[in-house]
Amino acid sequence: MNNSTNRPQKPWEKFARWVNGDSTPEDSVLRRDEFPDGRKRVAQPEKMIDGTAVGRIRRFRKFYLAASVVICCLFIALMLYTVSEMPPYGAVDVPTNNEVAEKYIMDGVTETGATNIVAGMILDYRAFDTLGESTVLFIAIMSVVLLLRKDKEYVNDEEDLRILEEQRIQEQKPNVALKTVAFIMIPFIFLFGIYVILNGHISPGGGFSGGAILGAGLILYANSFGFTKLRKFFNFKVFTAFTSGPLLVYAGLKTYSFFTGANHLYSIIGPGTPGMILSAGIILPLNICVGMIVACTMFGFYALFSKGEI
Amino acid sequence: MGNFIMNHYYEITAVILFGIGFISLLLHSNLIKKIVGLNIMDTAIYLFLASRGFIHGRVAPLLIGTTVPEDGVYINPIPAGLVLTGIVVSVSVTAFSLALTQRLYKKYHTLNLDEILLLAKKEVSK
Amino acid sequence: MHEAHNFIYNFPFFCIILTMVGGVVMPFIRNGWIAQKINMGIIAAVGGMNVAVLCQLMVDGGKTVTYMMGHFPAPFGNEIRFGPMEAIMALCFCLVMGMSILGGLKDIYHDVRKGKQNLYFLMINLLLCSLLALIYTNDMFTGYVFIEINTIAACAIVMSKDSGETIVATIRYLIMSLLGSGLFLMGISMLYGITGHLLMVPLKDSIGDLVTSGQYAIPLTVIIGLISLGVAIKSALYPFHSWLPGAHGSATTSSSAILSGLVLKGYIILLIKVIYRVVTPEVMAELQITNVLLVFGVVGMIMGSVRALKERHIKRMIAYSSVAQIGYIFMGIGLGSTVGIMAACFHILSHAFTKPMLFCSAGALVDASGHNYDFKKLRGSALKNPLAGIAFTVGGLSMIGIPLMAGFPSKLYFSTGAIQGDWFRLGVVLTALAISTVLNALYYLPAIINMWTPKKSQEASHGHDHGDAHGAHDAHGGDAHGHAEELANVEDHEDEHEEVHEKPRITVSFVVSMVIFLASNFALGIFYQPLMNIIEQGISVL
Repeated sequence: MNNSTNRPQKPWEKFARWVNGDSTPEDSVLRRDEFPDGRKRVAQPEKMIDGTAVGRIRRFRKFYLAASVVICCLFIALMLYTVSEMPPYGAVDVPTNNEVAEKYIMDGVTETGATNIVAGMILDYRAFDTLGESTVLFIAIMSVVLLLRKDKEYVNDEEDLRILEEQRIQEQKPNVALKTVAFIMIPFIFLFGIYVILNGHISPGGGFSGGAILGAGLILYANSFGFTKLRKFFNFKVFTAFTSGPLLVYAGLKTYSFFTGANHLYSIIGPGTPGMILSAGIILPLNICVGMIVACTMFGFYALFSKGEI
Repeated sequence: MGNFIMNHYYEITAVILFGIGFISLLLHSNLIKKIVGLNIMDTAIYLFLASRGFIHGRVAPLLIGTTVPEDGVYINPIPAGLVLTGIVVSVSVTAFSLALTQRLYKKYHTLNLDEILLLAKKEVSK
Repeated sequence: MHEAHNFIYNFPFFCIILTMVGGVVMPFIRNGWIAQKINMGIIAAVGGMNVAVLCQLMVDGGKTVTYMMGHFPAPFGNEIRFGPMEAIMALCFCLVMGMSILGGLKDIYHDVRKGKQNLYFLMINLLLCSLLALIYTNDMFTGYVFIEINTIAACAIVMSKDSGETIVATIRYLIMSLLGSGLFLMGISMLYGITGHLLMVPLKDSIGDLVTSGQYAIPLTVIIGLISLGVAIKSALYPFHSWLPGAHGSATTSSSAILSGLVLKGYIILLIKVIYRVVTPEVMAELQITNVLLVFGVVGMIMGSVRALKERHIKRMIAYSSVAQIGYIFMGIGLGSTVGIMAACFHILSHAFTKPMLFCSAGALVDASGHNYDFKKLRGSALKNPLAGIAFTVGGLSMIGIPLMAGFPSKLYFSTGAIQGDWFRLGVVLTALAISTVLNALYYLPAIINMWTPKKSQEASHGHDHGDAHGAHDAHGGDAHGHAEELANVEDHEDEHEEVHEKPRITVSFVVSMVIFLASNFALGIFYQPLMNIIEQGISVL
């Protein structure tokens, strides 16, 4: 493999190697060898693998490959056989179409107040799952923060150099087209995101989809106007507050609902008038909370991956 | 056989995709391909679940312009909810594994898990 | 229609929410020290609540209680359900988690970077939350969601010690875990496809109907196989263990202790609940799945020990020993009888109390010998930190199965369970137990003897004097002595500059943790009967 990298390649060979994941595209524009303040870039460390170890791995992999292919074919065959025994697709009289689904459809509107039956199901009947699901998002973004967020002790010269270079390019090129289009688009993107969140219980959508739209808007803003401008109003503290805070509100609201439900107490939260925007009990506030968490999480992933900080 | 395919075409696709994802996750030494395989596997499960909820000739469980549901009009809402939950979980774990991959790439300048293992072992023994 | 609950029966729900909220507020707390105190407070509160729940359940005659999560009963809304078994498991998990953190506290502050220590405790809180939810849940899909939280939190506490080695170990762990949860989710989806339920109680009814009518027999077998396989991968049953030594061996001390003591067990408890509440043991036996688990368990018991025997890195050796112990637990499940499951449950507890003690004491011993993981180089380290040495010795002997210690009753019950089975199982299980015990002794005893043997040459006499004269708490004398020893060392062997010879500072938290671990180990080994009664009661109403 190492020999083949040295000889000059045709473009399509390069492309094929890139598609196969054997080489990484070298971005020649975004590299300079020194920082603006004169520091030199640290040379890329050589790979220290000797031939014998790689050869041993290759031989092992051949055996492993053959075994895996056989196992996977057997596995697919077994699963196909299983599927052939399952109830048919699209039929009415299948086990899944039982009293549970019927109750969600027939009584869902009166019991939860949400005309979007799926929203009523995930945020009221099976709300504990959804609370867990929001926690999964929260814990994922926090582990990415733990892993990628830069601090005093974790610095990477090459990374810093790349980010500085990107900043320089962003400042040099005016990017009029991008900025103008973003300037027009972003208000509509945010408006649409908020619309999807607020109408989660009466139309398709909800916190997750609306939050993803808001997150996309934030990413577009950061890319067209620069992270420095975004950080004026969306720094790490705001990010923390908008991720943990809504989840706390969510947990609090649900604790009240679970507690009253389990102890058969009177709950002040009623379903309201179905079909109106202010209805469906706590589903609307829950959607807003989820939307905030998702928007922050999506943007957080992007910022941490590209810059190592928010 | 023809009947089997006609009755179960979504499930068959789902199961084959599941196998493809499974083999990619096991077989490839490239971390990005492993993560792609993981996503294929998860998507296959969602396809399977969604196909379980579908009923011929019925519409999405969403009341538009009315607040009184009719019997026998809507498909099963439960798989939709499960898929929604599953997608969020899958996004989270994908992001986490990509973050790990990014760190490893920055440290070892390769995406090949075998090479990374050798390099890490060398680093420890040094 | 519903009886009003005693207020105490709200506590399991409060435990889950409290740990979750405790995790969610952690980003606001920048100081790792305060975060640790809050975390300890939450663990203590949760433990206390579980004591109350356990007492109340026993007063009420050892029943199980179903608790609705919301306003809708069984097949429609989420539920949690708890009995004596769940309560005692949750209680022990809290205790072990608290002690594991105290035992490795010094290493946490050393290994995790300053600005991120609060996030470490965030992960610990959410890990406890997910473990409690796995113990208490009565819904398969909730189980899946919390398995994912558990996976991410477990991976995060491995990688929090930020080195290349741990990140490589984390990604291997994560990939195998995700493979396992993918299989588990596929199993649940298919189960939903043939029954139309996700909650455990209605699932049990519909599976009972399916079995009597003979419908969907093959899908049912495959589904149970998928779920068992998923759990087996996630809890590192033998052929799927490849990720475990790296992850447990390279993480910071507390993380290793929690991972092997608790995280592996959380999934197994879920599996036991699935077996009893969903599939029923009779169906498991009829579909031959118990036999498969028995074979895998027995192979795991022996192969895990063989791999541990070859290992020189002390933490990896203990990690391979975990593989063997997981084999024991699966063997107990594979026996298919109630006594077998009881033995498995007891072994979950005894291993949960022993393995974290081993990891914490090994961490301290490694610290005492100047961060050397090779166990040949640990020679004499127990003399420098006698408390850690005693804890390691007791832990090792308990793993071998010496009477009076926690490992003995579980082996006793495994044998009892085997005797109740047929002749073939009896032979297989007793042979495996005998071989495994010998192998355990073969790798633990040399390590123990080695660490109590003083170093060669003139330092030998030093070591003995030191061991006799000073107790664990005599820090001042220890310092002076260490200083003298260091001076002597610099004069005599300048080439051994790497080895630090000052007396390790033994912190109060470490002493507390080790003393409680030792006490509970002996308590489990001597007074195991009441605990077994609770477990038996819990399983009968599961």
